[in-house]
Amino acid sequence: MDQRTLSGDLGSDDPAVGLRAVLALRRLAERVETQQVAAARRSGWSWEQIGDALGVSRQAAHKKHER
Amino acid sequence: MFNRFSAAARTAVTAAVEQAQRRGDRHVGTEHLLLGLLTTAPTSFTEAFGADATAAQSALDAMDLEALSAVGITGPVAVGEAPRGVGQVPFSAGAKDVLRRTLAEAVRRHDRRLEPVHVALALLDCRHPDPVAGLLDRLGIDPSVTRSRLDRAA
Repeated sequence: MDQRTLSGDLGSDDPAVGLRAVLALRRLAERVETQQVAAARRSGWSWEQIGDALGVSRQAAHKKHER
Repeated sequence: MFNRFSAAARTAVTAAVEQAQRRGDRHVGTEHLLLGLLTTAPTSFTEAFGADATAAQSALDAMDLEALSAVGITGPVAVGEAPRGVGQVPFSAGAKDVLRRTLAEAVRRHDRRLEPVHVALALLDCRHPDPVAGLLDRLGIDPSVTRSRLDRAA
């Protein structure tokens, strides 16, 4: 049995695991966003370019990531 | 809601909000309240729980990895922190319920101020599928044992 089948048998029917996976994905997305925005800033991207890439306004990107 | 909270209890709740933001969550849940308590409370507290903040954070991360694996996402996963400027992070319904029951615990023990121990006792009453119930299970914490330790200590 490969891992996909095994984990599917264990997890896919349990909403507690499935819903946790949704939140885990969201947390993961936020962390990846932090890293990638920092990398873009180091590469000289403007907040406007970063906002466009993320599908948000320049102000939203700046407010969320300025530190 | 917080006007009867002691300084220590407020510090714990503030730490819970920070934990939620740092992890990239949109709500402050019961699991963050426990993290906030374990981050800010004295050693006697972590002894009563038999776990510290680091253990609780590791348990939450491990549960995330397992859940991702269950939906087919495996492999190296980015670590690090979430963006800081996300603005207000509201309390979840479960966390609000815990904060209300914190008052009931203080009344039960005839205490005038709401202290971290009352928040802890309210958290220990949470049942599945409340997030903190899963975290307590994962840490091997028996709520009734920790409850009696906390009751004895205070």
